[in-house]
Amino acid sequence: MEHQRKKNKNILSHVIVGLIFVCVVLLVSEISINVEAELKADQSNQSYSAVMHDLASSK
Amino acid sequence: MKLSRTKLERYLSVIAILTILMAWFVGGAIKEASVEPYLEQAFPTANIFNEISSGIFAAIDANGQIIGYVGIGEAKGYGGPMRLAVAVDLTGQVVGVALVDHKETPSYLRKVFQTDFVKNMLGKTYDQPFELGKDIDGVTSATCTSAGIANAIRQASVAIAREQLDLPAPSEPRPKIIFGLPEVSLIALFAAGYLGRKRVIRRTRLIRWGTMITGMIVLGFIYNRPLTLSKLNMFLMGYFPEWRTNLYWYLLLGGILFVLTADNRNPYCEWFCPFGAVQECIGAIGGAKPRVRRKQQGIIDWVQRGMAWLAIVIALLLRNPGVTSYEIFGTLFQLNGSVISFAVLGIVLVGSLLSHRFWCRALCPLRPIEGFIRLIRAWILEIWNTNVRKTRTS
Repeated sequence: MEHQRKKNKNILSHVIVGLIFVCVVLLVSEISINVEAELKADQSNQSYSAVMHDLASSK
Repeated sequence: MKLSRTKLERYLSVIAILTILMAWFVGGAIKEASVEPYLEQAFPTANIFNEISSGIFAAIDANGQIIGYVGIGEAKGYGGPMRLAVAVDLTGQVVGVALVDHKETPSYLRKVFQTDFVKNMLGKTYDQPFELGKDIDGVTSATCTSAGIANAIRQASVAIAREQLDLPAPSEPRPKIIFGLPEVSLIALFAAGYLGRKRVIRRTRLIRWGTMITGMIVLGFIYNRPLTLSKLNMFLMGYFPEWRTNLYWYLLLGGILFVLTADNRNPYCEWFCPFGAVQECIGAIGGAKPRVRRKQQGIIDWVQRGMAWLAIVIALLLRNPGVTSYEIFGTLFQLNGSVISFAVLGIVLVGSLLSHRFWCRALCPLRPIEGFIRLIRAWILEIWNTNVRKTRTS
C-alpha cells in the first residue's frame, strides 16, 4: 500500500515536470515568433497605417 | 574545489548584470527608424515631402502645389514611446496615419489596428479633444495603446494647425491625476498584506484569502493590471510613463521594491497577485500541493531564471519592452492572446489543480527577479555586517 502510494507520488511529480517542460517549449516558441515578427517588420518597413479612402484611391 | 551554491549564484548574478548592461547599451545604440517611408504611407497622393520645420513635412503633388502636411506625433503607449506620421490637409483635417515606431506588445497593437479605432480618427480636426471616453472610444483591453495613438495624432495635428495653417489651435491639455478604484484597492491590499504578515490583526488566513480574491477580481478580471515583465522592461529601458496617468504602476513597483528591500518579503506575490489567486482557487478545488521533488525543482529554477534573463536581454537589445513578455495573464483576464498562449494557459490551469502555484513555481519571470533582488540584498548585508564587525574588533 505504502509502496503503491510512493509510486503514484513519483509518477505525479514526473507528470508535473513533463507539463512544465511542455509549457517552456511553447513559451520559448511564442517568444521566438514575436521576435521574428519584430525583426521582419523592421527590415521590410512594414507598418500599420490608415488613409482616407478617397485620398488613397485618387492616386 | 567545489563551488558552493551561494557562490555560484553570486557569480552568475554578476554575469547576468553585466550581460543586461551590455544589452542595454547595444540596444540604445540602435538608430531610430527613418520617417521617410511612412510619410508616403500617411499621404499617398503627395509626390514629394519637404521638411519645413522640425518634425513637419510639406506634402507636394506632381504640379508642385502644397496639398497638406505630415507631422510626426510622439506619445507614450503601454510599453513606451510611439511615433506616428499624421497627414493633415489644408483645412486641418486628419487624412492619414502611419505608425513609424513603437514599443507596444505585438498582440495588443494588432488588436487596435484590426478594429476601426484608427480609421475613426480620419476626418477629425485639430480642435477636437482626441480623448478616450469623450470623442473617441478606446479599444477594450488595449486602452493605453489606444490613448497613445490618439495623443500622438492630436499632438501632430495641433502642431501643423498652429505652425503651418495659422489656425487657432488649442493648447496641449495637462493630464489629470488618475486615482480610482485600482489605486485605492492597491493601497488597501498593501496595508492588509502588511498588517496580516505582522500578525497585527487576527485571522491572517481569512484576510489573505480576502486580499487574494480582491486582487483577482479588481486587478485581474476588471482592470487587467497584473505586474508583467513588459512593465519592468519599460522601467529598465528608461521609458518612465507619465506619473499622473500611471500612478498605479509607480505605487505597485515602488511598494514591492520598498517592502522587498526593507522586509525581505514580496507582498504582491504572497498576498494579492491576481494570477496567483486564480491558481490558489483552482488548487483548493483539486487539493494542490508542492508536488515536484527538491532535485527536480533545482533544475526548474535554473530554467525559469534562464528564460527570464533571456527575455530581458532580447527586449533590451530590440528596445521593445513587450516583445518577449511571455506571461499569460492577459490571455486569462481579457481572453487576448495567441493559440500558444491559450494552450499554455490550459496546461497551467490543469497543472494548478494538482501542483500548488504551478505557474509561479516554474514559469513566472517575476519569481527569479525577486530571487535576484533577495540575493543582492543578502550579499550587501553580509558585506555591511562584516565591515561593521571588523571596525568593532579593530
